Amino acid sequence: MHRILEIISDLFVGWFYKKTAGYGALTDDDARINNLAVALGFAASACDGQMSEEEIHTIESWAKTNITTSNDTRNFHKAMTATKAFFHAGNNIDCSGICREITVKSPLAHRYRIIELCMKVVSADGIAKASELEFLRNLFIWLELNHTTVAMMMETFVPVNIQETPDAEFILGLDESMSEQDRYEKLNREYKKWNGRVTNNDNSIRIQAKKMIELISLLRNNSTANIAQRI
Amino acid sequence: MSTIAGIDLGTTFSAISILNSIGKPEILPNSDGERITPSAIFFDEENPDIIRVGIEAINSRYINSKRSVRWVKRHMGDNNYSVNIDGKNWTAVELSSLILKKLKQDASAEHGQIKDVVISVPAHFDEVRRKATMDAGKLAGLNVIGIINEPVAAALYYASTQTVSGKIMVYDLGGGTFDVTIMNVEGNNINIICSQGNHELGGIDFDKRIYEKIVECYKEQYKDSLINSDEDSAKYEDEAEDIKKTLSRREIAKKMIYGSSGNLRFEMTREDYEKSISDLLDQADMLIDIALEEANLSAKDIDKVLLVGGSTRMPVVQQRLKDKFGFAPEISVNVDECVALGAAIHAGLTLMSQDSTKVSAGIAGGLSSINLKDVCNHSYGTLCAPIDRETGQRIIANRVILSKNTVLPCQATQMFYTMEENQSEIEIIITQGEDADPRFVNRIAHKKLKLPKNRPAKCPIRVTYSYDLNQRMHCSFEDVESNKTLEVDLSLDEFSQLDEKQIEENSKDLAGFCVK
Repeated sequence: MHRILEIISDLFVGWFYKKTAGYGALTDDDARINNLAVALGFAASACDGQMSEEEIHTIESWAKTNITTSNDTRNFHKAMTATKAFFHAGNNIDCSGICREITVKSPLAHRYRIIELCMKVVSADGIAKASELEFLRNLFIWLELNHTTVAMMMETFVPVNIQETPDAEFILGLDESMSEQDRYEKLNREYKKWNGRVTNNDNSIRIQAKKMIELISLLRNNSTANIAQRI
Repeated sequence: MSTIAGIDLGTTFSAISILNSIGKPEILPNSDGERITPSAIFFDEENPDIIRVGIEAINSRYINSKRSVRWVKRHMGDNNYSVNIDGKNWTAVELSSLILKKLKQDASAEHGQIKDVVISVPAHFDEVRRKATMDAGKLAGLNVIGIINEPVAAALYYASTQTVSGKIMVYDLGGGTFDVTIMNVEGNNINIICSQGNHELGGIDFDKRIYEKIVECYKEQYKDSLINSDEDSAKYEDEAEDIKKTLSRREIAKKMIYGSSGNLRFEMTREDYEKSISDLLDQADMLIDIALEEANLSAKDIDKVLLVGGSTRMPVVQQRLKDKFGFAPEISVNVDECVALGAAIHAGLTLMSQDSTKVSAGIAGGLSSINLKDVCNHSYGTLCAPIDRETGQRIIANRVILSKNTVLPCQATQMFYTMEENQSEIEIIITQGEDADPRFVNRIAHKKLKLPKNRPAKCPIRVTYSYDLNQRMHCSFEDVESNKTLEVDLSLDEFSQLDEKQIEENSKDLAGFCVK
């Protein structure tokens, strides 16, 4: 983990200090958080053992917008190349440790930006594999985010129809602590929402909505069966 | 005076009824003497100008399924759907018009010219689908004076034939669609409270589960595929439907399946069948829960459950409703016919409100006491750019102005503000849907409102939407300071995929075909 962070820090943070000498601690943290976000983006890309061009491009665009400026591209490209090589070689980083640092230093809004980047990365090649979805689930826990908000972000950035093995509970924002009544109500709300989208003018949304309706009705069916069994 | 009729244009079956001389609706049998007509079409092989609609079309599917079409209703409003027969691409509207033409022809043969009709649609159909249904009627040479929601039509008929009062829930599970509607009924006064529905939940989905089971069993026994052609597929779809119907009467259904590798004795118990469709019925249960919540009611507040649609014959449907509401659902009206019968009553009421001279005194007398109050079927709003509370950034969001289930006629106003100094115009997008996220709502109109020059930001814009009893929406966007106003009228015609000229041309094309 530390090697990649050092690379990123040396190149990106070094550049940042030069440009922003005299900034306070919060800005220093912002720079560091953005670098850590890039590292997580790469980890998201590498977690299925393949780093596609589309995924790298997504990370690069995010990094360009959030870390560098157009007149300082040399160090930026150097950092990108080194980071790509690091992950291509099969190395990995301690994502939970990085997230721990992020949760201490960064406000909630920044943490949502980071998971958004990772969502965009895993969906960039048009399919979100099981390992990538597992990565996002972990990230949501490590970054201490709100399940409902993350579920809504998943709708937008990782639609169910591109998910290789959809985890219905995670997608719908359900968790084990919910009572049966709460689950029913939540499922009803989700059903209402997606049922209203099955006639959307956009075909991809219609497909997403039909898939979501299938998932919701299966969950409801499982809940009903469990209750019947208990009775 | 022409005959006033109501048509139930169903996914699997259709029916037509007329108002008799004293304003009572009656079903008109087709030329085969059947009271309902399969919504199936077959393009004759020997005579390309002949199109068969009904039972003959069903039977012909086994001979040449490529020339047959069923379940068109599922594709209403879908621009990408068409069926190519002899080089002509038939749209869902054109295909539906053939079914309507057959109904009209058979009815006219005995009762004179049928012209003014109301056609029923599922309650959850959006404007595009409603308009597509109207266009199909026009292509069939009908004067479509209105569209009525299927559960409302059923309730109209029910209330006109029985003494009813209290909160009624109409459970409409047909061949291809499901609707649940809650209404308050006091004698002949019917006030709709809310509707929910799914346009891909019905008999054909239940049949599919049996069909899949047959195919699976055959594969298991013979390690070979049962389905080797479209005709095989058509045949076993109908076998599956037959098994489903048997299971509504008996505990077990048995069928010999004659495949190319050998014969299979297929058996299915009612219990296994009910298990196989339980997730689909759970969807119907969820929609009931949602409708009850929208109506601010619980199951114990419902006084009666009225069944509509052939799929409600399944014992499991009736048992589930009994378990939920604590009483057996009402089965005193014919589930296949009540929608068409109610549509005819609505046609009479509509004609009376439009031009009472078109309705005979006898009919007017029969209908005069019926009073129906409907609600808005969808939410309508506009796109705006508020500041997101969480991120503090400006986002594009959909803001609902007129909410679904508001009693008609209705009107609602909201204030918005210009965003920039010297803003010269406002981009106005009218939406249909409840989502705040603009990606998930349909944009139904796009207009621009020019603004006076040299003004600061945050000038107020008053947006008012109203919706009348004839399903016409009026929107006004007023710059409060200058009184400059943009008025937008949206009737169902706005959603047409065909203009009048195209309808005329298509009608001429279709006139060349003989529907039998």
